[in-house]
Amino acid sequence: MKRLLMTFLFTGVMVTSASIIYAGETKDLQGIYEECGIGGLLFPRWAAGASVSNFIWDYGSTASTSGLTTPDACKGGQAKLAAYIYKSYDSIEKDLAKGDGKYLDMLVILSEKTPETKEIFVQDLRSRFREAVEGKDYSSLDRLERSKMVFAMIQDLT
Amino acid sequence: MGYMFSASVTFASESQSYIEKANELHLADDPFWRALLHFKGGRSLILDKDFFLSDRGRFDPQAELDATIEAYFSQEHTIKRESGDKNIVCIFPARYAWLNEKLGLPGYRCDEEFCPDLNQWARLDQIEAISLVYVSGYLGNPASSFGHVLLNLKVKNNEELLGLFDTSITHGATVPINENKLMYVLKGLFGGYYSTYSDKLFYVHDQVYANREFRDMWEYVLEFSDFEKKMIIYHLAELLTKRFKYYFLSGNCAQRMAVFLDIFIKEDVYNFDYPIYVPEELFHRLQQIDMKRRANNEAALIRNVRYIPSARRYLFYETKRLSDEERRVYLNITNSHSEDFSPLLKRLDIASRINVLNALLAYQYYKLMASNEEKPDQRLKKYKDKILLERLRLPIKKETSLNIPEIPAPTDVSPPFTFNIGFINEQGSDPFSTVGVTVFRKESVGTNALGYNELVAVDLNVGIDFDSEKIFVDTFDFLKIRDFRTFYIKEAKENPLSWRVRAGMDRYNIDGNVLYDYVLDGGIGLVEQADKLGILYEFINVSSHSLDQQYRAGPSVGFVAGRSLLKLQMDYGLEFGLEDYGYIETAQAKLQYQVNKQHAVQLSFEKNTRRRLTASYFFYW
Repeated sequence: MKRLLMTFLFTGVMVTSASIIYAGETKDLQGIYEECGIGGLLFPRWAAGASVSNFIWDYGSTASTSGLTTPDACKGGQAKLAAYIYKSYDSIEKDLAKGDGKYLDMLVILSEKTPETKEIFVQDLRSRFREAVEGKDYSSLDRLERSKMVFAMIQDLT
Repeated sequence: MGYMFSASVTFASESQSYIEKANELHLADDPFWRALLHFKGGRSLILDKDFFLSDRGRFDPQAELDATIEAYFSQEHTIKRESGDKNIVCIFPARYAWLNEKLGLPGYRCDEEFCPDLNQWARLDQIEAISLVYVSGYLGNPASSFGHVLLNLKVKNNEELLGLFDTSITHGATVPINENKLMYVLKGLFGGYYSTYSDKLFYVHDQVYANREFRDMWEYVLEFSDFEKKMIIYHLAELLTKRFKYYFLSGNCAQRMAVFLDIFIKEDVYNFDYPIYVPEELFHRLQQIDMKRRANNEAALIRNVRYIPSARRYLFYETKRLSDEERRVYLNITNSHSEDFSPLLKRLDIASRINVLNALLAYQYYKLMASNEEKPDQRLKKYKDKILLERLRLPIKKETSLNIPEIPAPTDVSPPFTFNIGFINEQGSDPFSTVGVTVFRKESVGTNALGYNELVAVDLNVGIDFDSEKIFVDTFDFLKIRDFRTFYIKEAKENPLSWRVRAGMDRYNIDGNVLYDYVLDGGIGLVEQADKLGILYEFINVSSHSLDQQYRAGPSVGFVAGRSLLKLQMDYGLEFGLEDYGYIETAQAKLQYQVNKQHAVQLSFEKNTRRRLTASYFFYW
């Protein structure tokens, strides 16, 4: 019972602290996830024209073309990291559970971790992530909310 | 004011001298200049005015060249960019890099300081190669049957990450959201859409194609000089979002990529206006160029080919490597759907528990990926989260890499376009010869990246009777598909039904009376793979004919046996007329020997209302 209470308490603290971290990063995250728009984040950031919806030739995916109208908040490492987490969330989540995989390796690089600090970073991130998944709210979060949470965890660990 | 006037006079006279120099070198007629403008038949294929600096630029390469040189010196132009680099050199970097090579433009620069946005995008110091990615087709969606092409700008030291952060260029139609699918097909076929080049990072494509649509990919890394690489990247920067007219069959992703590569590869990559052009043809052409270069001891074009398996293949082999005990637990959990799977896991040691949970996770993600991305099944999601948590509670375990057998790359099999000649002996009529052409032929008996599946599109055979000097259409297949489901995840209870469809026309000579039967034929069935020997199948078919009996239905059985070079296919069935319930027997046998990727001989026998024996030679092109 005591353990259960501690778990709830810890989860509560975790979720609250994630929110606080998020609030502290509000400007960046707002800029990244909302001002830029998720579609607008997925491109390597170059040139030209208005955004349009676009089916690729074989009907494979919907996308926007790259836009020149890119606010500074949408450029740089943080934006890349945010877009990467959102778009690859399922693959990152799976790799994080195993503690291994190419999507996790890429996340480490985008989080600017060196090979020397990689192991401890993955362990810490995995540990925090486990605590979040143990929280009763995790299953009710949508992809964007989960992405923001992982983004905030990485910010906190950096 | 006086200074400004004299400055513009200076610019004008200076630009004039470079225009004259360009004229002496006939740069406006240079194929490279015309290619950079995408000229074809007296006009550029690019429709946007802001791709041209001259009002006449879309129709007049000389005017565009003059305007390009003038803009360099005056820095006056009407190209609008809401943000990003404003300098004209940064907006048209390939044009000016080439002109600088030819004319030595004074003060030319396109560096990080001068064009920061361009350089940030181009990553010239990080891009070590250019690659072309073939995304396999899949028969579930006719629009995706022929595959897709991506062009990747490969970042250095990115191999172990499978190029996730390579810049990936695609060419596709611009279609309104929620477009009606019928409109999509019609407008796609008849030029109702614009198309553009667009850029993403490769992980976005990896997510869509490998993880969501379960399509295998092959990456062909190409060799280019540093200057060629730079020009390719610069020209892509010029082209992004510029509109072309889109045609599904000819002005599509493969054709535009072929035309693009044709600018930078000295050999002809695309030198003929093909009425239909599919991605495989581009890869075969690159392989031909590569082989020719190697034979001439020249620098190769293709550095290497990398196979990128789909998530479905990962899951298949992830579960295959489980021990018997682990697999039993894995199947128990997936089949029971029990919320409380802990007791089953507890029988295993930690290492085995991790293996099972890894496989369960892969399976749950596979199921989620196959479901609706926007509205994932909540029950599935919660169940996946339970497995996720169980796995997170166990320690990290480095995995040995999965050994996934490679399937043939597009260039390991025959090209899709075929010519054929044949000789037909038909009961009740004089023997005759045939000449045929097929736009896309992947037969079950050929060498085929689709396994035993079959996809034949626009297959026309003309008969020639030399005795009576008659020429006639013998058969025409608009589309023929046989989708044999031999590779699917059984525990996911995926639909195991195979299907087949044919829309075409057959010629019958009944007592000297020639009749054409227009056929729409389809069926569903089950298939069993007999290890590497081949497949056995049974189908229930229905068909509509223009000749009596007009509506027919009945069962059929068959098999395809053999390895890649020699394959035999046999079908036997009954067709019941739905009007009088009379029936006929149908039988077909095909034996094909593949001499090599480009040549094959085939013997076939057909028995239904007609009986005919055909001997054919196929040339794959």
